[in-house]
Order: sequence, then structure tokens, then C-alpha cells
Amino acid sequence: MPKKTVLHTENLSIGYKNKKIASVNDFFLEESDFVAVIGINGAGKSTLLNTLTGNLPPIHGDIKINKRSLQKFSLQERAKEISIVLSKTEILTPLTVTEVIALGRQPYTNWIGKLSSLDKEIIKKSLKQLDIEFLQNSYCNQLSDGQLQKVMLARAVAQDTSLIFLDEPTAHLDLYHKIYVLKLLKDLTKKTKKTIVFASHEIDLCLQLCDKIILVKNNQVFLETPENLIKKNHLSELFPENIVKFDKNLKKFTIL
Amino acid sequence: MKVQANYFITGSITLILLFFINISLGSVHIPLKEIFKILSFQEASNATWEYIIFSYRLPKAVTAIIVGSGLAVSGLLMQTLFRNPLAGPYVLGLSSGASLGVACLLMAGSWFGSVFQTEITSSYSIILASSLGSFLVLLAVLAMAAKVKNTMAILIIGLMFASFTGAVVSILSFFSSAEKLQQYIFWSFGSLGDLNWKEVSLLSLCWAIGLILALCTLKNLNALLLGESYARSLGTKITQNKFIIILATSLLAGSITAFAGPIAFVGIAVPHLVKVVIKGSNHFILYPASIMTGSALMLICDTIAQLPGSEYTLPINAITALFGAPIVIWLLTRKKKITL
Repeated sequence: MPKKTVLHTENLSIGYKNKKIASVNDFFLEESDFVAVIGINGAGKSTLLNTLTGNLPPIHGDIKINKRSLQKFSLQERAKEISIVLSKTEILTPLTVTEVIALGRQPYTNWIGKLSSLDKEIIKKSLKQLDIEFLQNSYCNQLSDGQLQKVMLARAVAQDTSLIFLDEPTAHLDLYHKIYVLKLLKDLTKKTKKTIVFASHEIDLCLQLCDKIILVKNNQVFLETPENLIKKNHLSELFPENIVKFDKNLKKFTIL
Repeated sequence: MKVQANYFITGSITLILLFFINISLGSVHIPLKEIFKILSFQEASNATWEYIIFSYRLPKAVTAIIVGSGLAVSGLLMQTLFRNPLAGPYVLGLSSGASLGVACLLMAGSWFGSVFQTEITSSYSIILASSLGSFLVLLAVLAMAAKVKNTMAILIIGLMFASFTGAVVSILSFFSSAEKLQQYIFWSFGSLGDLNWKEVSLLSLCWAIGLILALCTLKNLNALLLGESYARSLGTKITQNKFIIILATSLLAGSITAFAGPIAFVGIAVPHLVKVVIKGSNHFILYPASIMTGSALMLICDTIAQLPGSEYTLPINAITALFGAPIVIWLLTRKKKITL
């Protein structure tokens, strides 16, 4: 059975009112895809994510979520299809882990935010899926960066969207936790059939773990499988070649 | 959960008690038995007492509740909107606007001859001038809010408005007579006791609309605890929500300042007090708790301000800060981290 297409782009160009950043080769994302967005600093990764999540209107073309144009979604409808996790979350107030995850149910609750038994069940399930049940009554401002990241992820899972976008989910973590989080995310895509798209600088890790990679380079955005990306030499030209070089056999960057 | 339940039960009992204490104390001693008689619409043994209770103490107690709860709620809204524990009902410059209005009326008004003199100093014209002042500032802030996307910029714009109007008031004070200056200063002390029932009902109308508007934003305020990006991703209409919050705050703080003068401190202190005791951030709990605590605090301050047994009344503004500030300092030093 073919996998369901969740998101696809049509003749998309991204950028701001008077400044085009890149044109996008049409691509498809299917359910349970685990997709990294890579590119050098300033290439337009954030612009792409902002456009795909609907916070920035495209300057040309269209994004379709489940075959419906993203521009036609109301804010609340969009909140049921797309959830986000930012690289750094600042919670200044005493909020418990369960309360934060419960906020993920907001698109589904009434005006006083009353949680139904279904909502409560989903909150419990997402606590379990991220293995943070033991934290459920802790206050978020007392957690480590890694734990907080998981809580925010659980919140996104509880929001029950077909797509989750993450902005550099591994930015503040050590190598062990970087790999741990990426594997967890991948696991999540297979378990929940959600599509996860994340911006990352961990190109080596992404090549090993992701199903597809979106490369932002030279005002162009295109999607490839990791194998093709290497085969077609796209990575060797990613950085200026006088300092770092991509080794095709080792599948990683080496310092010259 | 248990802390919260206890808080609301003790809180409401305390509030009722404070209400009766507030009414039973004043410059004229009225026996407690007579007070209950009067409140239950029975014939009191002294008609003057009845008059004092119905025309003076009761409206004053009701005003205290409206002022305390209204300012507390607007402080709560501002602190969450601006993600800043120092924000209060007056960060948008409302009290400065009101001050400017009253200063213009009292001090600049006298330059236009003595023809209007008696008209000018009546309480209604002060209310009008103060409302007009806050309303103009509100319009300016709302216009800015529609134009400026950055929430922090609105905070700074509010502070700039305050500095600007403060400067104008200084210039006006410099050129005005001692008598006019005194009148202005007395207004800025704040007063709960000058309102008749008609004014109280007008104030409570503004208060009720403000509280209802605030009620509509509670779910969004909870989302805003994670920051604007997350709130938007959860379906919150950020700009519309900001507009409603500013409107509710202006209605509450603006009308209160117009009728009772600029009452400092309550708006900033009460949300802190509530958050420390409840140890939570859910606005559906903070909102009723702020209403309750604000009312109670204002009733206490008013009871103290009228110096029971004496015929003096201290400025309410001084009392709120004098007794409230140490409490907040004490509460905050007890814990390690300042929370919003």
C-alpha cells in the first residue's frame, strides 16, 4: 500500500516581500517520513520552515497539506495539522510538565480549555511515548535542557498533528543526547505515523538516520534521499572547500 | 489542587469577614447589632447611622472591592502579556493619561478665568477629565499596538507616554497656584470614599465589562506562557488577543483611575502574592484568585486608611504601598526564583 502524501509544494518560492531567498523544487512528504533540513548558516532554513508552517506567506506557488492549500487553513485548523518545537524554550512560570503538555490540546478544547477524557488519555499517552511519566508533576523551570526538550516534544505529540516541525532540536545537547533525541524522533515517526521535519546542523547524523533530506543551497531548495545526496555530489560543494571536505566513502565531513 | 481549594475557601470566608469589618469601622462608632439591622433593611435606632452606612460606608466598601479586583486582574493580564513580572495595570501609561487630564483641568483650567471655576473643581469634571486623559492614551496605545508587532515595543511606548505626560504635568505644576497644586496632589493620593451610588454603578458597569473581556482571554493567556510562537502554533490569534487584553486593562484601570484616582501597587503586588501562594500559572485559577485577593487587600487597606475611631482618613495610595510592599518583598525573598 502506498504511503499517504501529507505535504507537497507546487512551484514554491520563499522569501520576504522584497527579497526572494530561494525557489523550491516541488517535493512530497509522506506519512512517517523523518526529514532533515540542512544548509549553511543564513541559507534560508528558517525561512523555509517558517513558510512550511504557514507563519510566512510564500512569495509564489503553494503548499498543500493533505491536498488542501495551507493558506486556506484557519489558525485553529492549522494547529490541528502542524505543531512546532523551538530550539530553545523559555518557561518563566511555575508550570508542571502535565500542564505544558495539556496546552497541546488547546486546538481541541472549548473556550475555558476544559480537557475531555479523550484529551487526558492523549496526554498520558504522549508522556509514555517520550518516556517522561516520572516527570509529570515536576515543574518545567527545574528541568534540564534535554528533559525540557522532551516535554515540548510530548506537547507537540499531544497536539496530534500530521506534521511536527522542529527548529534545531539538538542545538543545546551533548553528542549522546543529540543521537538520543534524533533516534527518539525517528522512532516516533514509525510509531505514530507522524511526519517529522527538523532543521539541523548535524549533517553526519542526519545522513545516517533520515529518510529524506531537504537541502537549502545557492537559493535552491530540493529534496533527496541521503544516498542520492551523496551520489550526486551535493554535499561536497556545501561548504567552501578550503577548510572542510565531504568524504564520500566515510559519509562524513573531514577537516583539511 | 488541595492548596487551591483551601485558598478559595479561606479566601471567600476572609473576604466576607473583611467586608463586614470594613463597614463596621469608621470615624463614627456604630454598634455591630445596629449594622446587621441596617444591612437587613430593618429600622435602626438612629437614622444618622442608617445614612452613614448606606450613603457612605457601603458604597466605599463596594468601591474598594471593585478597585482591588479590577486592578489585580489588569495587573495579571499585563504581566502575562509582557512576560514581565514588573508589569502592572499602569504600564500602558493609563494613569499618566488620567493625571494629565486632571492636571490640565485643575491647573491649566484656572488660567482661563474664574468663570468656570466652580464648575471645574466639581467631582464630575475631575472624573470626566481623568477618563478623557486615559481614553486618549488608550487610543494612542491601541493605534501603536495595531502598527507595532513587537509586544515589548508596546511596553516601552507605554513607559515613554508616562514620561511625556509626567513632564507636561511638571510644567503645569510649576506655573500653578499652591491651592491648585494641593488639589491635584490630593487627587493623586487616591480616594475610595467620594463616590455616590450612581457613580459606583457606572464604575461597576465598566468593571464588569472589563472582567468579562479578561475572562475571554484566559485560555490564550495560558498558551502565551510558552511565548508567542508557541501560542500561535496552538491556534491563538496573537494580535486580536493582544487587542482584547489591552482593551480590558484600559477599561478596568482607566475607569478605576477616573473614579478613585491612581491607586498604586495593588495591580503589581496581588498577582505576585497569588502566584506565590498557589504555586501555579493556570490563568483559570489565577483569575478568580486575583479577584478575591485584590478585593480583600483593598478592604484591609481601606479599613486601615480611615483610622477607625478618628476623624482623619489617610491617603489610600500611601497605605497600599506601605503595607503591601513589605509583604511582597517578604514573599519573594522566601523563594529562590522570581516567577512571572
